[in-house]
Amino acid sequence: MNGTAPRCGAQMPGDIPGSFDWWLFGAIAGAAAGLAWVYGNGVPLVNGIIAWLSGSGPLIPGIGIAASAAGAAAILILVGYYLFKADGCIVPKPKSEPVCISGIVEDTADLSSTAVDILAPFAIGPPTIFDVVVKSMYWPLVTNSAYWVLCSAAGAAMLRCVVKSATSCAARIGAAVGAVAGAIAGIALGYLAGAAIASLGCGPFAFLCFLLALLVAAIVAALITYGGAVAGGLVGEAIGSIGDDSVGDTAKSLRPGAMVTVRGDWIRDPDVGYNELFYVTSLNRTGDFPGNPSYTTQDADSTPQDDCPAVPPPPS
Amino acid sequence: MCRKLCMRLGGIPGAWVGFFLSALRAAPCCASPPGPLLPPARVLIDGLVDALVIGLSVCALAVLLTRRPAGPIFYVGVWIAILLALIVAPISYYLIVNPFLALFVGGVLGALIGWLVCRFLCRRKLTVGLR
Repeated sequence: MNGTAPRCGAQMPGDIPGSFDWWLFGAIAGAAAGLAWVYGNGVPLVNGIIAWLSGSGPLIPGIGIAASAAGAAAILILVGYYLFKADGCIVPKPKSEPVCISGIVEDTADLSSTAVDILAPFAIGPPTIFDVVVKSMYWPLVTNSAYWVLCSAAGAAMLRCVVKSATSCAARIGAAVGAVAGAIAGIALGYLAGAAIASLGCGPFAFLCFLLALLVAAIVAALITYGGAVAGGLVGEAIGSIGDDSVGDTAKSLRPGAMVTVRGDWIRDPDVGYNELFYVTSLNRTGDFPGNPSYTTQDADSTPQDDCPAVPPPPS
Repeated sequence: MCRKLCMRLGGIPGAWVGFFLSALRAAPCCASPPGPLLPPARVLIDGLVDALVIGLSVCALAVLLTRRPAGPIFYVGVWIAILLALIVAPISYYLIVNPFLALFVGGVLGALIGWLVCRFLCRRKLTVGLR
């Protein structure tokens, strides 16, 4: 045993400080400003498409095109939110440090979802996570600057390891391209659908008709943009799946009790406050520990010498 | 996690309700001269239709993307939609005649409503899935 065993659970009093949701307020302010501009000018390119499709003169910008653009903008923001996540795809990850740990796999979770793969490829996340009961020499990696320490049922400190999806980044980029193409078509068709309803007049129910026209314009534009994002995402996913994914394949085959050496980027999860490897860069299975979970640190310490550097680098 | 999700469940439909309700008043409608103001009951109904259509769509997306249980998310979503219809719709229609300003104000108010609703409901067993 190296030092005192970490205390499980919360390490500091109070809640884990969460980051302010800049995305929501930035998106709302940006959408308001963008739509005000669309209200006055229309959308370049889309103006011409609408005029061509409707066979009439140039589009007169107004609330119809703004409602349609609002629907498309909502989906573009959604796709952009996932595209610009700080996970190393487009935006670099938060400050991390390459480390190596070893121990026994306590449990694994398959996070892949066919529904997300098909219906929302722009939101594909890590396919697998697993928790490793680490040897006592790696305790500092579990506790340093952590707000929370994960423990096994037997009370042994664990480090969560997150496996990167091989297809996620390509799918998100593909979805972004598809969403932009879909938005151009969606705004034009949404505007025309809304205009068709508004032109009915509806007599005493004119206001309800008007509201319905705005809603239909927005929803049609949003659906077509979403369709573009899904189509683009599926193409990106297919491209991303070319080539081998040795870490992902090994992680999928892991079962509780596997003895592993894991290398990866060590960070503190900003949402939940515990330390983790985000993402695993190399995974070596060295054998199987006899017995069933839950495992203790003594169990991990009793496993053979691992191939990590003799002294783990001091975490900063 | 819960706080962010709740603010989004309120902020996104709030922005839309603000935008649409203010557009009803601000935009030239239906090739007819501007009529009298709609009565409050009509504004509430229009606001509720808007808030439910958009709010439940956002809830469905949230269930798909966050893989949380659907029941608690829709439960919170319906409460937020009702409050948006009661608060954001009248403010946007009667007080803010600019749809784009209403979008922003509605979004901020919606986020606040979402945060407050969850602050109250997340303590209850029903929303255990949001924790």
